[in-house]
Parts: sequence; C-alpha cells; structure tokens
Amino acid sequence: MPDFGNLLFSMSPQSLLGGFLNAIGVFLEYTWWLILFGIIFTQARNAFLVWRQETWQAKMKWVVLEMKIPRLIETSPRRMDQFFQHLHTLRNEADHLDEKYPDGEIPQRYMFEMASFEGQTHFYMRVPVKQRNMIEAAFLGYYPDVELIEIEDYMDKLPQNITDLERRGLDIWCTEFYLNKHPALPIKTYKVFESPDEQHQFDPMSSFLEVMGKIKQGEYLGMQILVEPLHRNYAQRFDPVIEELREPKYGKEKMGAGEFTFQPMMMKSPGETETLKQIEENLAKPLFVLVVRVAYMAPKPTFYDGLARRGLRGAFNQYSSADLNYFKDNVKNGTKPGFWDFPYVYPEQRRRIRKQRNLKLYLGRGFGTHDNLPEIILYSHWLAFNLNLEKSIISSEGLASLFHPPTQMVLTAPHTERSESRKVGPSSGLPIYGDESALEKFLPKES
Amino acid sequence: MKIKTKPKNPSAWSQLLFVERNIARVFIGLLLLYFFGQLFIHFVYSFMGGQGFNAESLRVFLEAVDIVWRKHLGGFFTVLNVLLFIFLLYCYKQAWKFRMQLKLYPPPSDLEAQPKPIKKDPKVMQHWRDIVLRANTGQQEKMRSAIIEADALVDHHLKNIGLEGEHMGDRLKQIRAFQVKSLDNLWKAHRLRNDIAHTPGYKVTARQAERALVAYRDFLKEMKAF
Repeated sequence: MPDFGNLLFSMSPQSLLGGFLNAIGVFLEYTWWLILFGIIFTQARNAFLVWRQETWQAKMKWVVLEMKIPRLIETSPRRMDQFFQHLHTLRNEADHLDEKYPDGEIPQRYMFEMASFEGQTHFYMRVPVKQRNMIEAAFLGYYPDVELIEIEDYMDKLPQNITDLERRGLDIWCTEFYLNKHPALPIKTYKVFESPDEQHQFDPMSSFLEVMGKIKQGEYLGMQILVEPLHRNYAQRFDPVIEELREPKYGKEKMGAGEFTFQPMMMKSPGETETLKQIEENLAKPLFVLVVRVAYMAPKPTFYDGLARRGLRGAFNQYSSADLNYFKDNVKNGTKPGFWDFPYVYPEQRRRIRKQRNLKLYLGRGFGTHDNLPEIILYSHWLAFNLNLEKSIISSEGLASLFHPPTQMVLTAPHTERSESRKVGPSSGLPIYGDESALEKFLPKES
Repeated sequence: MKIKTKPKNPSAWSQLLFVERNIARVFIGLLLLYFFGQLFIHFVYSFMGGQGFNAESLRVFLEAVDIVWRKHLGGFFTVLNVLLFIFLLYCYKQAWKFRMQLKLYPPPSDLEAQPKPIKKDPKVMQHWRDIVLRANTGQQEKMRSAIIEADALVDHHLKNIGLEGEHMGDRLKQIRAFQVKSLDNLWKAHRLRNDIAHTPGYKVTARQAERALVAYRDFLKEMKAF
C-alpha cells in the first residue's frame, strides 16, 4: 500500500484542511493520467478537425455570379423565400467517419452580396462551382428575368490588407450585424411590408439601395450575407421556449377565503399571443446560420463612417420590432476600439489589427467565429481575440426579407446597372437537338 | 417580451456519429473488461488459494489492485497521452498554415495592382524643367503651351504604361480613383487643357496654370516618372 501522508502538501493530514487537501492529492495521484487523457484527447481531436476542415474549405472552388436586375420585377420577396427553401435542401453533412475525419467535410456555405462602387450598386451571389447549375436553376425558376452572369471576383480589386489601404490613401470601417435577442424570435418580414393596396406596399431593399447610392467617388460600401443551412431538426431545440410561452401565468395575490383560496390565472395579452404565433411560424420554416458583414472604405479626406454605420443601422432597423428581434452592429468587434476596451493597452495598434481582421474576413467571406480552442488560436492576434464575433439564426422568410432582388416598388434606375430587355423564350417547336439534317430520319422516306 | 428559456442544445455525445459512439463504447468496454477480469483473477488468487479471508490476503489483494490500476492502466494511458500529445502538436503544425496572418505592418499584397514603373528618363526631368521655366514667365501664350505640353508628357507616360485608347480621356478612365490618389486633380487639369485647346482666345490665370502643373507633377511623381 502506498503512503498516503504528505503527498502534495507538507501539512498535517490530521487537521481538517490538511486532510481535505490530502484527499485531493490522493485522488489526483490515482487519476491524473485519466484526466490528462480527457483534456489531450479532446484538444487533439479539435485540432485535427480544424486542420482537416480548413483544408476542405481551402480546396473549395467558387464562382461569383452577378445578378443583373431587369427594369421591373413584378413579384414579391415571397419568391426569394421559396428560393432559400430550395437552397436549404442542398445542405450536406459528414455522416461517415471518412467524411468527417480525413476529409473534414462541413456544411456548405453560400454568400449573397451587395456592393456599391462609387454609388453604383451590384448584386452578387457566390456559390460553389459544383452546385452552380442547381442554384441557377432554382433561382431562374423564380426570377426568370434576372440575368446571372459569371464575373471575376470583385474582391480582388479591393485592397487586400492595411498596407494596401494606406497606399491607396483609404480608411476602413467594417463590422458585422447580428440579431440581438433570443434566437427563436423572428424579425419583421416581407409579409408586413406587403399589402393588397398599392399605396401601402413598400420594399425594405429601397432603403439599402439609397444608402449605398450615397457613396461618393473613390468610396466603396459592401454588405455580405453569409448563410449556412441548419439541420432540419434544429427547430426542435426551441421546443422548451414555446413550452415556456404556452405556460399559463398566475397572479400574485390569492383570491377567495378559507379553504377556497386560489391564484387567479392571468390572461395572455394579445401581443404575447401574437409573438407566440410569430415564433411558431418562424420555426416552421427552414433555418440558417446568418452572418451579415459590412465594409466601408473611403479616401481619408472624405471618410465619414457615420454614413455607413448610421445609414445601414437605419436600414436594418426596418426589420426590428419591439416584441420581436432586431439587428445590432457588433461594436465589440468594430474597427474603433479605444483604451476603455479590453486589454486596455495600445488602442492604435488594436485598431490596425481589428481593421485587418475584419477586412480579411470580408474578403475571404469567413464566419471567423470560434467553437473551440484551435479556432481561437488560429484566428486571433494577441491584441485582438475573435471572442466577440457573432452569428445569428434566421429562417428563410427573414432571409428573403433581408436579401432579394429589388421589386417594382424600388427606384433602381439611378443606383444599379440594369439589364435592359425583357427575356422571351424561343417559340415552341424549334429543333433543339442539332440542325435540320438531323430531322431527316424522322421524315417519311421518299421512294 | 422576455424569454428566459435557452434553446436546448443536444449533448456532445449525441452529436457524435453512430460509428464514433460505438468505437468509444468498445474502447471503454475493453478497459473495464481488463480491469474487472484482473480483479477477478486476483480475487481468486488471494482468497481462494486456501489461505482464506484474513488481513494478509486482503493486503495481497489490495496491492495487486493497486498495481493493475496504476501500473497497467496508468502506464497504458500515459503512453497514449504522450502519443496523443505528439499528434496534437503535429495537427497544430499542419493547421498553422491556415491561420489568419495578422501583422501590424504587413507587406503589400501581390494582388495589389501596381502601376508598372517606368524607366526613369533624365530627358523627362529636363523636359519638365523647360515646361516649368516657360510657365514661370507668366506670359499668356507660354503658360498655355506649358500646360498643353505637360499634358502631352503625361499622355506619353500613360501610353508607356500600356494603357490603350483613342484619347487621353479613354486612357485615364481605365485608372481607378481607388488606385491613384492624384487622379481627381489630374482630370481637372486635363479639362483645363481641353478648354485651352478647343476654345479660341481662352485666358488662363497664373493660379489656374499653377494648379494644373502641380496636378501633372503629382501624377507623374506618383507614377514614378521621375
């Protein structure tokens, strides 16, 4: 038998504290290798997964498609909702060992972007090359008049790091917007903006287009919406939330007398009932992970980030509602940290690092959020950790309200480059497989 | 309305793949089998070998259990820990390639479209000096011709860089204000030059001429013409 006395601390095992510490010491002496195994195993697994998943992402081939908006889109964002529901079915997941560990497969992400170059706004989507046909088919099925044109990635024209920025005499403001309340709560969607009466219809896209159109010469304002479809069963996680909202509430004071005391049940207010209804409707739709990132670059003399910050905040505020969710810009990850923010030293240097990280995330369209230790180590600088990056959860309905080709309510002419002519299909009966000679074998033979 | 309940996240165990869970079950099962098998063997050896249940046999049994737990299982896990730690370091080394390279003062990127540097020509400097000297006289005709010549000099260099187009305006349009700081003023100067060239009897003030020449000079400097 081992000697249990004085293993870790030279304290009398007879005293209370000494005995207690001694017990811990004995416990650790017998189990340290098991505890260490737990720590090292999880860390090694995480590091391996991050390595493989980064390799998977680096191998990915992408294509950037520009949406050329026609003169008139006489449809509601409901079509975009259908498109996102279509997109949700493309979700992939590692469901075998070889897919999960050696390949590092992760759910596919899609990017929907708006970018304003010196006041002219463009709409883009960035999709994997392999899935391009499927996504084009889905999109053109709902928006037959919109042209999808493959372009070079416009991010290559932007400055790639802070030295490039300085060489061009530019400054940057960049951060992300996230949903600030409970993830089950939806935002105000296109259903609210629609109305059978033409006088009361409007499109939230118009506000974004106006803000982006106010950009002056040499400036750039871009917004990217990164989505990742969530598992079909994800909404089940919110069951306890609905349960909580359904529970009846009781008043504080007891009523009645003697044996017949009872707590009166409180009626639900119309607002509460409406919120519950909205939550249930929201969770019935496919859910996505959402990251909205915004970047504003301008020459230093004309740099005024208020235009981007407050203007876009105002545009995002269209979706907010007191009883539902709202978008907030992530100040903690903004490009303007001061000495009052952790770690309280070198504010100028931290600004530089934050600007660079946000710019890199913007150019690479990365989430940048962390799930485990290796991701913190890889995406952080000692002056700026990636602990404050936010992502939110949104349904296809909210996503369609946030991003859709502007409808006929929006004045697009001064702000976008439109495709001019209306598309009409070829007349039916034209030979589509080969020329006329191919038809000959179907014709009755001359004898 | 405030919601207190947080979404119920599934446990890490249920997030694992079916095969992974089975591997973990088999691993733990084998360890337990080994441990309790050893326990059983030593139980039989200590108490059923004829010596019966007494203090001495209990001591022998507990010592054996101690050895099985600390030496056998502990040794196995220690070796496993060392191997896993080496594997962990290897994974970090591999993943290090993908880190976000954040530096306070990074070098300029490869993608940054640098205007092609022109060979520094002493004749350009001489030419420029002539232009400035001519403008310094303050005479109307000489100032006008100085501006037109400075414009021609800039145009010559735009051609040298490899920009194509019918007029100088076409060449200038291919440069982005994003990339060249002094482009804005250059356009103004170019417009002034057009006014001079196309309007008969256009009068240039000394101030206008100075501004235009400064714009041309800044542009040439930024393009590293001299």
